[in-house]
Amino acid sequence: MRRGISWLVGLALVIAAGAVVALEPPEQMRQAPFVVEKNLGERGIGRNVEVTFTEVQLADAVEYEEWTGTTTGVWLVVDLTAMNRVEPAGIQSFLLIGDREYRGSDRMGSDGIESAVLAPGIPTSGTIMFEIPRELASQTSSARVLISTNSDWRLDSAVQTTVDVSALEALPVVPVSPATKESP
Amino acid sequence: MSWMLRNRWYLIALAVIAPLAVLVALGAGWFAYAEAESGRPIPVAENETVDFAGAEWTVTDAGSIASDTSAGESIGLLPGTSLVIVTLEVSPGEEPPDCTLELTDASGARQWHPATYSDVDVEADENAETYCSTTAEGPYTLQSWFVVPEDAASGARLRLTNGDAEPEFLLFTL
Repeated sequence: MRRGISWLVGLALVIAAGAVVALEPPEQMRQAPFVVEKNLGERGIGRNVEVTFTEVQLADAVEYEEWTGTTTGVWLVVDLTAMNRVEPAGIQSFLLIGDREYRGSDRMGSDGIESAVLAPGIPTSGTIMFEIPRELASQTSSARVLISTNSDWRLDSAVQTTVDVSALEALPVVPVSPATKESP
Repeated sequence: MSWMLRNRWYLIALAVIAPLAVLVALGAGWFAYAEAESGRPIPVAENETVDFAGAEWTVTDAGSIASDTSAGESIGLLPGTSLVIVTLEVSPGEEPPDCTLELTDASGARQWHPATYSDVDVEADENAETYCSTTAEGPYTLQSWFVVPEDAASGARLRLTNGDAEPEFLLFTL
């Protein structure tokens, strides 16, 4: 009787160990960022970054001071306000469409919000923009615009909003804003 | 004799060895991580001089300007922010050390880098350095300023770090 119970317990432990191995999350999932999903106008709070996406537009060209940014594709232009919570850092923007990943354009140079060092408690507003194929824009009903405090977003917070790009009508020209510190 | 009684010495050994094994396996990594994460602060009181990283350091003056004062308006402070100004006297030894300055709030939860000329319209005192001088020949004055939210100015503390002295750093009460 006792021997039978020992075998049963042993077998159960082997099965449990197998289940633990089988259920182990894949590498990508173990290192994924902690994503905070928010709609336009809502404040998303992560570990070291707070982001409010304020407006999303599609544009044939973007305009900043004397410069006009043209493209053979189309611009997805996102206005936002961002702030650090713990320590000064910059932000990085990503546009995720299916398996494709686009980085925010750096064509605004040092005036862009991705070049700014944000500070805890003092918000900074600005514009991020992504240059994407026109055809992709018209076919994409669910694109994720995501902001993290680092180009390496693994195991850190990121704030995102989901955009139906196909529902947006491309405007001829959209003005973009430089990084501007705001009152707390 | 019950099973528990017969195996008591094994059970006692297990109760001691199991936690010890966890501590040995994870302890070293955990303490190294905790130290790297927060460092080891050396508290420095007001007007106290401390020998650190090859120099003597003293905070000789610290003050703040609020945005709703005439001084705050004239230097272009954003409403709701304050400017914290810190002045140190540095007496370097043979090799003047480099350093990094940061301001933390009273709880230490938030940190700020020194402000730049694009943040605020201020200038350092005459003959004062705004960065740690690695070419100084003798004592010098170091001045730094920080733009912080109004609520962080009171009780703020200055962190002074030096790469060679890490994980230790100076934490000045202002």
